[in-house]
Amino acid sequence: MKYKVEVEKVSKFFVNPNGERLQVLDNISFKVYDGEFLCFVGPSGCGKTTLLRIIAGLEKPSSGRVRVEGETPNPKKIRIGFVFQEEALFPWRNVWDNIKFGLEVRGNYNPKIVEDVVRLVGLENFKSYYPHQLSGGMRKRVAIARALAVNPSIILMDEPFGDLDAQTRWIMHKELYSIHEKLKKTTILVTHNVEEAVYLADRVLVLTRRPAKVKKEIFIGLERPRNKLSSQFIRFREEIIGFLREEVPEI
Amino acid sequence: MASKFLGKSYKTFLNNFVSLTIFLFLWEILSITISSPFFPNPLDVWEAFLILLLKGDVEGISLTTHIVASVSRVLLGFGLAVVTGIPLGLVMGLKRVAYGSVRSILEPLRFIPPIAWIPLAIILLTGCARYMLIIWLGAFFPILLNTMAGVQTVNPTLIDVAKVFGADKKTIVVKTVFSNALPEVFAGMRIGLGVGWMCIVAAEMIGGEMAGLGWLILKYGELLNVSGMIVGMVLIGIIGLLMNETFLRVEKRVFRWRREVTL
Repeated sequence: MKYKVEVEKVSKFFVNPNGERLQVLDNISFKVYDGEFLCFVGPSGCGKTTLLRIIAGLEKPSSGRVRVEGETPNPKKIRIGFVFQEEALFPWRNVWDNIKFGLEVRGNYNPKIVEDVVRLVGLENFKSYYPHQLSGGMRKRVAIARALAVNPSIILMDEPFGDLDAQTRWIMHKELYSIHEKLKKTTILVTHNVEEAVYLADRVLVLTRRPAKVKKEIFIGLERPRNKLSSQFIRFREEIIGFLREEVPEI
Repeated sequence: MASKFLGKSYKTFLNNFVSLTIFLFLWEILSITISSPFFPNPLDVWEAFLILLLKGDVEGISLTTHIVASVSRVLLGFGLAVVTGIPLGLVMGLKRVAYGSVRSILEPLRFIPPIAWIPLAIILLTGCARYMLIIWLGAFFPILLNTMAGVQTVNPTLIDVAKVFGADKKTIVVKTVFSNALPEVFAGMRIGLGVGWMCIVAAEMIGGEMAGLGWLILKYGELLNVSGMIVGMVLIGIIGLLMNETFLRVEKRVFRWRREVTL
């Protein structure tokens, strides 16, 4: 199967408490290749999160259809790794127990798998720590490890590093890059950080303001690991920022 | 860190020792001033305690029998409150409609003091059921309300995490909603046990059995043996304190993930 995810003419409406209809997504179509790293960038509040939630099967599109591995998304059938924007670790579970959560739910807990992902994200010495004892970057690593533990067929990341400081974010970019190199998991990452998108993505889709449409598709044909200071890198970055500026002139 | 902690607890202990001594001293002065046969001094109470401990009460029932009787009754009523309060709190916390529908029954009910139920309990129930009803009434509502409140504090993102891993409803309730509510459920249990324990005298007024600390107080009251009465009161206070402290300790251990320590 060539495409891991197919999104066809998806629109989404919400009805807000005042009874007004709010359109979030407008006729969005795209396909994601197996093993691809796809990034969405778009103005904040444009509906990026909703798009990810629809792909994960947490929400249904108002019209159009989504296929993940050729089927309607259903977390009970397809293994999905989701890294949420907000703090989403179970505060009452330590690092180990947080990471094993997905396996536990699916009834195939295996300490060896947990051990492997713990090593992958470099948390060997923090297995028994509780989330409140960890730094922001470490908590993100736990969230990524938890998503990876179930051997997901796709990984969805919703602004995973938005709340980290610049330095930690930089480190996380490198780590996520090397994880992707190792595992080659199909990944869709949503961000408003253009640098992040150019550093990580095979392809960047720029979204318009709400209701979101796909405005532009950019293939990042740079060799990896990428140098954030190289002139080509900066050219890609400027190009994408240019598209964003058309949507949000204040940038 | 450890020595600082030790120093702090030692200081607290010393402070409490001092205030307790002052309290007993003031009591002594008051008893001298009042100088009434019905106002015992601390030593009289201590003496009454020793007699109760060594010889039992006026009917020869030992102090341990009284204590065991009261504690087991409270634990029974409390146990009933736990097995009713937690599931109901869980259901009503999850389904606001359920709570909304029974609000007009529940809310007034919880303001009727357990003592007001005594005549009804005498007419309708006998023996152990009477104790259990009165103590259950005290313990049930804190457990119910805390469970309900705890259920609602769950972070919706955590439910999404479970959903995205394909969790069914039952797993979501057990592994996210209830786990999240557990500290509040425990706090509700602690408060419920305390309130249930405070209902012991009321319950034993009507139980009709010859043992129990509440019964002891009432009996010695009728005999105008004030020292013996106070022994019963103080014991109720101390046992309540011990139960509360034990609970707090268990809470601290079980919920150590809550402790606000950062790296």
